[in-house]
Amino acid sequence: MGAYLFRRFLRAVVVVVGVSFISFAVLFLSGDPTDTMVGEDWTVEEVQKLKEDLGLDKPWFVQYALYVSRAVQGDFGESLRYRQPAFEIIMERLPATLELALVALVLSIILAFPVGVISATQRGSPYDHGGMLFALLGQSMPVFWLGLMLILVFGVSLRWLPVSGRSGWEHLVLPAIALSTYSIARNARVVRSSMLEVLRHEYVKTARAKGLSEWIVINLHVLRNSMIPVITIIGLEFGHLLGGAVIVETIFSWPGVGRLLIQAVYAKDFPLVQASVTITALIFVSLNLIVDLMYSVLDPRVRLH
Amino acid sequence: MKRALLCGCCLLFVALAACGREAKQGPFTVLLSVEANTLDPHFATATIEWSILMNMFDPLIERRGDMTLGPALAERWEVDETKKVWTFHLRKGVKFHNGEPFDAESVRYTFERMRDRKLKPRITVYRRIFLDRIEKVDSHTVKIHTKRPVATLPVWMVNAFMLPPKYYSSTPPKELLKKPVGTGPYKLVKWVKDDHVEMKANEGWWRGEPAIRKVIWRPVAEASARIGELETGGADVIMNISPDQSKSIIKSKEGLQFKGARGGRRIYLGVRTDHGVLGDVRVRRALNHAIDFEAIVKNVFLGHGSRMRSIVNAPNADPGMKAYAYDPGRAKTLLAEAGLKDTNGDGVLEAGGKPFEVKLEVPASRYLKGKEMAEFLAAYFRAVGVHVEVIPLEWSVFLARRRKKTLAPLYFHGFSSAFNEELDLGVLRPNLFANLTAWRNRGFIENYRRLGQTFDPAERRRISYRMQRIVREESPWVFLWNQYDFFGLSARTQWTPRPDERIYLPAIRLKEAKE
Amino acid sequence: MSVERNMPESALNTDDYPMMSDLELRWEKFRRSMMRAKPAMLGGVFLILLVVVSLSAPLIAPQDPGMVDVNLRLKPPVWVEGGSASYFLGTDALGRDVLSRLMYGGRVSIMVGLSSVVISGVIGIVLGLVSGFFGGKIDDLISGFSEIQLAFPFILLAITIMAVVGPGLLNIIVVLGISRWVAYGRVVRGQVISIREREFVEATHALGYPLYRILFMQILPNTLSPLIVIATFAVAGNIISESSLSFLGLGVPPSVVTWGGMLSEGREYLRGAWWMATFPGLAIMATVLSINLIGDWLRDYMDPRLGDDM
Repeated sequence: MGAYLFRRFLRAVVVVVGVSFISFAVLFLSGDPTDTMVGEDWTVEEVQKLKEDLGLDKPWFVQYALYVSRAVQGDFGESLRYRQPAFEIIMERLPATLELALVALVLSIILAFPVGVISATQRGSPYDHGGMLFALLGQSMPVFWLGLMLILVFGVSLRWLPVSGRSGWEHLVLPAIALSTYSIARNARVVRSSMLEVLRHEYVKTARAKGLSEWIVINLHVLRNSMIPVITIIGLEFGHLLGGAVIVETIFSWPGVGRLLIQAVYAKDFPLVQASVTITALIFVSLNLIVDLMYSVLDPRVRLH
Repeated sequence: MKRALLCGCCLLFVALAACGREAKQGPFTVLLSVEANTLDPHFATATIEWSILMNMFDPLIERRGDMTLGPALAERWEVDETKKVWTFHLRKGVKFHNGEPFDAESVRYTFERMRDRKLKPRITVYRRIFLDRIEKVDSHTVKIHTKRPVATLPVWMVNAFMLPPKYYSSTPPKELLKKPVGTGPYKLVKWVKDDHVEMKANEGWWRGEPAIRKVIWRPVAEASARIGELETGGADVIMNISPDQSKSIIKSKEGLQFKGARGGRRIYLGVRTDHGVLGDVRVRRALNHAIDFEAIVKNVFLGHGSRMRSIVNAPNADPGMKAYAYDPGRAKTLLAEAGLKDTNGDGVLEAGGKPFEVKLEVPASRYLKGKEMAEFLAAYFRAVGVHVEVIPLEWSVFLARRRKKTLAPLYFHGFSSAFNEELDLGVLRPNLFANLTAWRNRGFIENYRRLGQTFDPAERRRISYRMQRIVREESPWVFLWNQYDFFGLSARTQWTPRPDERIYLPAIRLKEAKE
Repeated sequence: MSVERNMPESALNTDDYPMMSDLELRWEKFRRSMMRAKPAMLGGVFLILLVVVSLSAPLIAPQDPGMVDVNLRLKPPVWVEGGSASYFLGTDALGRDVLSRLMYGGRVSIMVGLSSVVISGVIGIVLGLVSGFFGGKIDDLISGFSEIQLAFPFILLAITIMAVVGPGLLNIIVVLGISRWVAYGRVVRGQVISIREREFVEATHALGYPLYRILFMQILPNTLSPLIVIATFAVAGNIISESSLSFLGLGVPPSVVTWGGMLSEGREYLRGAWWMATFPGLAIMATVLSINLIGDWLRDYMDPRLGDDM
C-alpha cells in the first residue's frame, strides 16, 4: 500500500508539472501580453520598453525556467494586469468558486440520489419515467442556455432572485442550479443504473428472502455496493464543475476563478493563467487521489492501479 | 420517502417565492460591462479605470461635461513667451481624503512619481508633455518646464490626478493600487476586486459635498443581466447596452430611461492604401459612397447617430464639411474610372484580370455592433461589385495583428478622442503604430508639424480645417460614425451622459422619492 | 483508476431461436429490441428527419442563409404580429432567415459532432490498444498523459488553440477531437488487458500472426460495443461543446452557420427578439436528446451492464 501510495503521488506530481508546461507552451504561442496593455497613442519604443520592464523580451525557455524555479517555492509570479502576486489573487477568488462548486456538488448529490433510487426501485413506474425524462432533458441542455433562461424567468420575469453578483445566499441559487443541473441529471442516471445492477445480484435476492425489510436491503446492500461508480463520477464531477464554472461565472458575474481564468487568457496575463491552471490541476489531481483511496476502503477487491 | 421529497420541493419553492425582491432604495449602483484592474492613477490604462478614478481624484485642469477645458485644482494658468514654461496657480485650502494639504509639493511629487524608474508606471503624460522639471515658486504656485513647446499640454493635464505625497511615498505600491487617496468628490470605502467598488461622498470636497452619498460600481459582463438588474431595481445606471435592448426597457417598466450620447470615439474602416487598387483615391471614395449608413442608423441604432463628417470631433470640427452621401451610382462610376470592370459578368469587378476581393477584419466584441455593422457594410460593397469577406477576430488577436501590421486591407477600428483638434488629427500620422493606412500626404504632414508649434487659437483652427479637408479629399478611411454610448437609467436618476465615455457622479442628480 | 469490468459472455440465448443462423439471430434481437424502445425510435425518426432536411437544405431552404439585409432586421415569426410567411421563424439581427439558417446549421452540428468523435475515437483506440497491449512503461506514459489531459481545463485548451490558429470549422473539430480521447483510451485499455490473457489471442499469437493483426482483428471487435455507446454520447457532448465555444466567441467564423453561433448571436436579443436564440436552442436540445435516447437504448442492447459513467 505504501509503495502504491508513493507511485500514485509521484504520478500526480508529473501530471501537475505536465499541465503547467503545456499551458505555458500554448500560451506562449498565443501572443504577446503587452498588446492589451498599451494605449493607442503609444510609440513602438514605448511598447518595447514595457516588454523589457516585464521581462517578456527573454526567450521562452528562460521564462519557463524562471517560472518553475519560483513556482516550486510557492511563488507564481506577479499578475501583469493586477500587479499583485498571482497566487494571492487566486486565493482571493477561490472561495467563491469552491462555494459555487460545492453547493452544486451537494445539490447534485442530494437530488440525484433520491431520484435515482426511486427510479431504480420502482422501475417502470411514472416516477421512473418522470425522473429519467428530467435527467435526459438536463443532460441535453447547454449550460449557458440554461443560465440565460434562469435569468430571464426567475430574475427578470418573476423577480424572485437576483441575477448577478455575490452577496448572500439568494445570489447563489441561480448559478448553483445552472451549474448543477447537468450533474444532477447524470448522477441520477448513474445511481439508477448502478442500483439496478446491484439489485439483480444474488445476495440481494438472498437478503430479501431472509425477510429483511426493503429499507434495510436497499440501505445496507444496494446503496453501498452501487457507490463505486458513483464515487468515480463525483471525483471527475468536481473537475467538470470547475470547468463549467467558467461559463456560469461569466453569465452570473460570479467573482470566481473561472471568470478570472478566462479574462486572464484574453488579456494574455501569463503568470495569472499559469498559476490558476496549475492550482486547478493540483486540486483536480488531489481529488482523484482521494477518490482512488476511497475505492480501496469501499471495495477491497478493486484492483488498485 | 416520496412524500418527503415532494414536500421538500414544495417548501423550496415557497421559500423561493417568499423572498421575491422588491425595488428598494439602496445605494446608488452603477453597472459596468468591464472591470477595473487597478485604482492607482499612474497604472490606469482603461477608460473604465479613468471613469472610476475621476470620482476620487482631481486634476489641475478638468475636462468639463461639454468637453471644453476648465480649472480644477489650478485656479488659472498661463504660458510664457518661450512657450516652454507653464505657470499654475493652485487652489488654496484643499485637503486630501487623509487630511494632507494640497499644495505645490503635491504637484511636484505627482509628476516625479510618473517618471520614477523603479516604480515603472504606465502613465504616459510626462512623455507627451516632454516634461523637463517642476519648479515650486511658492506653496501654491508651480512652474512646469517642458523640453519643447507643447500646445496640447492643458489637454494632457486632464488625466494627471493629484496625489498626496506623504501617503503615496510611505505606502507600499501593492497597497496603493487598492487604496487610493485623492482630493476628489468621493472616498473609497472598499474595493473587492472583480466584485464591486464602494465609495462614499467626500463631505469636505472643495466644490461642496456631492448629492449622492453612497455609490457602488459593479462589473456585470452579460448585457441581459445588466438590464435585468435595472428592471428589478438593482441598478441606477447601466452602461454598454444597445438600442435594440432599449425597446424592451422602455416598455417593461414606468420611469426607466434609455439615454444615448454621441461619443468621441471615431469608428471607421481603415484602408491599407499600400494594398493594390486601394492605393487609388477613386477606389477609396467609391467605397465611401457605396454604403448607406443612414439605413444602418435607422435599423440598427433606431435613429441614434449619424455618419461621421470629419475625423475631428465637435467642437473643433470644420462646420462646413458634409458627410459622404450614399450614392451607389457614383461609386460604380468611380470604380470604372479606376479601371475596375466586371469582364466575366459574375457580379465582381476585376482589376488586371484578378477579381476585386478583399478581406475585412473586425474585433468581435470591442465596438458597439461592430460585427453586425461590418456584415452590413460588406453587403453594400458587394452591391457595387467589390467582394468583401468579413472576418471577426478576438480583440487580443486583433491587437497582435495591429502591432505586427498584418491586419486585412480593410479593418474595422475606432480611435478614442481627447477632444482636441491636434490629437484628433494625430491618429493619421504615419509613425503612429496603431495607424495601418500607410497613407502619406505631404500637405497633411507639414500642416501637422505647424499645428504642433502654433499656440494662437484662430491660427490653429485654420490649420486644422485645412487638414480636415485633406483627409476628407484623400479618404484613407471609410468614414463611419462617432460611436454612441447607450445607458439605461433608473427612474430616480437625472443625468445627461458625457461624450468621453466617463461617468462623473457629481453631475448626476436624484429625483426625490415620492412618499 | 479504472474499475475493470469483464465483458459478459455472449448474451444470446440460442435455445430460443434454434432455426436461425447467428446473423439472423442478431438481426432478430436488434429488431425486437428496437420495437420495444419507443423513445429511441422517436429519437431515431427525429435524427433521420434532421439528416434529410440538412442535406437537402440547398434545395428546400426558403431563403439564402447568408443574405444580409439591413431593412429586414429582427422580423418576428409568422404567427407573431408583424411576421411574414417568407420568414417563417423570423429573421436575425442581420436580416437573415432563421429557418433557413437552422437547416444549414444542422449540417455543421452533425458534421462537427461526428468528425470530432472520429478523431478522438481513432486517437483513443490507438493509444488504448498500445497502452493495454504493451503495458509497462508505455502504459505508464500514456496513462500519465491521459491524466494530464483530464486535469487540463478543456476551455483553456480550446481558447488558446483557437486564439493561436484562429476560428475555423476544421480547427474546432480538431480541438474537440483531441480533447476527448481519454474515455475511449481507457475502455480499450481495460478491455485489452482483460482479453489479452484469453486463449484465442494467445493461440493466434502462437500461430505467428503479426502483432497489428492480432490487435485489430481480434481485440478491437471485442471492444466495439462499449465504444459505440461512448461515441454516441460523445456526439451529443460535442454538439454542446461546439455551441459553448461559439457562445464564448471561439467557434467557427460567422460565414459558417451553426446553431451554437446562432444562439450566441441571439443572446443579446433575448428580450426583444426571443426567436433568435430560442429556435437554435431547441434544435440543439432536441438533437442531443434524440442522440442520448438512442445511446441509452444502444447501451441496453449491446451490454445491459455497462454503466452510465463512460
